[in-house]
Amino acid sequence: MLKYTLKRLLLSVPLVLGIVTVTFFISHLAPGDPMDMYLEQPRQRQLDPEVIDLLRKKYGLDQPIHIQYVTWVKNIAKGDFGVSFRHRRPVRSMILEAIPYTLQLTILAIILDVLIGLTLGIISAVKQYSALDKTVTVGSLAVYAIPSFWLALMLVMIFSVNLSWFPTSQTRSMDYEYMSALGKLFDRLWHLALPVFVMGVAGAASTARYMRNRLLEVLNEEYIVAARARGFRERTVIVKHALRNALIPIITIYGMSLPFLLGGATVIETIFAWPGMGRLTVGAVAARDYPLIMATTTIAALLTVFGNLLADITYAAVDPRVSYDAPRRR
Amino acid sequence: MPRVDAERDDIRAKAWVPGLGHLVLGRVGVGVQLIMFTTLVLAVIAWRWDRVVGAFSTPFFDRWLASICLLLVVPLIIRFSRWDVNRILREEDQRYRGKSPWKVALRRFGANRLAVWSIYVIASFYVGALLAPILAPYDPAAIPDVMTNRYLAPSSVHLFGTDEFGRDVFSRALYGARVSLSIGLLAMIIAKSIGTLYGAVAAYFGGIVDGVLMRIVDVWIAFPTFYLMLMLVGVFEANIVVLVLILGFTAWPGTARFIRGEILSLKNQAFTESARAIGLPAHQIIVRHLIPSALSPVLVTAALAVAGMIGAEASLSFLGLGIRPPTPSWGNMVAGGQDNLLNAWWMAFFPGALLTLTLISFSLLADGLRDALDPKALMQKYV
Repeated sequence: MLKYTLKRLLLSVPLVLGIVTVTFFISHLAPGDPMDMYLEQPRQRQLDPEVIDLLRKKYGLDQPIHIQYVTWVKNIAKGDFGVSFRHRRPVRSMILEAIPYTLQLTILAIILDVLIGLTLGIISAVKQYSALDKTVTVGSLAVYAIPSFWLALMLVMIFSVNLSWFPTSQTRSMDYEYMSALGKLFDRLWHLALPVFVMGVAGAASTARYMRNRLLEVLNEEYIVAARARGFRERTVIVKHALRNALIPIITIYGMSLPFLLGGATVIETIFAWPGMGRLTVGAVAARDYPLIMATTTIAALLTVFGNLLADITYAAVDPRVSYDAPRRR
Repeated sequence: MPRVDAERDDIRAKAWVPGLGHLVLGRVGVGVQLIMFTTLVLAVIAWRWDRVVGAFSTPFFDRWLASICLLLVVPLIIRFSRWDVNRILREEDQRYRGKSPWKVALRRFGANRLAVWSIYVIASFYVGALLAPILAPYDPAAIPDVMTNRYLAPSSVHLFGTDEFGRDVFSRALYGARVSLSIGLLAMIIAKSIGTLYGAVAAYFGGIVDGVLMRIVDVWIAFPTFYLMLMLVGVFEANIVVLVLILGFTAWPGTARFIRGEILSLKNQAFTESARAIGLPAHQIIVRHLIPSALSPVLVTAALAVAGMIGAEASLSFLGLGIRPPTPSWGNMVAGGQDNLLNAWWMAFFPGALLTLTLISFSLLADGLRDALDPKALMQKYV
């Protein structure tokens, strides 16, 4: 087990290097250099050429590109992502401030996803061809297809603007500072409700579909027939025999769904003015703040690699059929 | 009972009216559809006659195209109706009716009512987008007297209401469909072409080539796709062409990985061996023999990919990073309605609803295609 973990860790090193490289070169694809692109926006003030040269020197953009690349990789290894053009602050501290917010959102969304998705998937597989099953199969497809920004806006319109049940945006109420600890927690959850729902429900739809198909496959296996023949109750057969095996691949699915969650978070965070990584990225792209764009993209990719790694290792720990010696081929 | 020749000629003559031949032959479903479709086309031509003809006196390419397409449809329907009636008559002669896998797939697809409806929805949206200059009740860019025309609720005059400048939301949504739908389709084609070729090359040559190419894919896939798109949008000034390229170039690696797997299992089969034995060069084996054999699952993912691309474009435009107003796209129209949720809900609702309907239809289409093409599912039903 330890050997497998180490091996997977070692294999992801070149991947990480690749990610860092791709981000660097994409941001240098732009005509001119990042500083030109940043300064040539209509909103920017006209600067003296000398000042621009100074700025360029400050950000190391006067160096030849291979030196810049080496510096970029070295700095990332030290955890230094440079300084934001627009905010004149170290990117690192901005991201460290944003990550907890994104994590709150995504983790709660995954929990919601698991709760709704697995429940519906299991019920509709067990009661195949029932009215509920048909509703879930078609409904999950529809829910999954709804663009999240539209769903979010419609929910805001109904529940925040018209009914005033939930706040329209922000992370906390005006009087947050004066609340008790429990009140603060409740206030945060109240603000999280709509964004988490929008993010979670789309995930739940795909989970339900996957879980249903997977469980139906497992229910056709011979060991299920054997278990039934031995006279176990249906409940025992499903919970103890079928479900255990059907749940294992779900772990991988969650590992792979991380990039979609992070991508979806960009839109949701922007709509709900949620100060996480996603909103930071969108703001950076709009302002062409390259150090910030490069950093958030790199970190999102690293988080994805980490999520996949975690899923693979968990999978190996749970499923004895995965060999520890050879990495699994997908 | 075989038909006599006079009867056949009579039916063939009736087929000049689209659908009538089918009705006589007892193919009521196809017949009624043909008649309804023809009536609809003729009605549109009659209703917008001045615009159909007037297009030819304008310099706008899209108006020419719309008019030509609309006028061409009529002879094409007649041609199709006669061809199909002849086919049916020919098939009646034959004792055995062949059941090729494609025919079986087509029949299975036709039996899936949701999938067929999704085709209707998608087709009508694409037709609506193409014919936008003929169908749109108002000029999408025209700003009338703002004070009296803005924020009008949906009514028979303005089907989807008007926006903050008094522009007709329905007309704008029709023109927005052109942007959204064509970007989705083109980006899908780019992504699938690159992915297919890339995966096929990697699988066919194997060894170091495969290793290097697939490591690149690994890195590419590690990025959350939407972040990659955001980054590219930040580097390049986004207009429609650039956006299509960006979407296409970010979405190919999944296909590459998939095709590689398919072709790895095909490349040692007898038909590849024999192609190699007769001395075909590698590029011909890949393009003529390997890729076509691996393509039918790609068809399923293609439908999903169009939905993904349309959704991505809409999200980017919604964030203000894709298609910029005043050019309408469904995404930036929803964004425009975001600030008017309280007083003009229709501004965000209708473009988003059309978008949702499109995405759901593509998902249902993909679902139907998979059910129809999946050989495993076929076995269960027909063996």
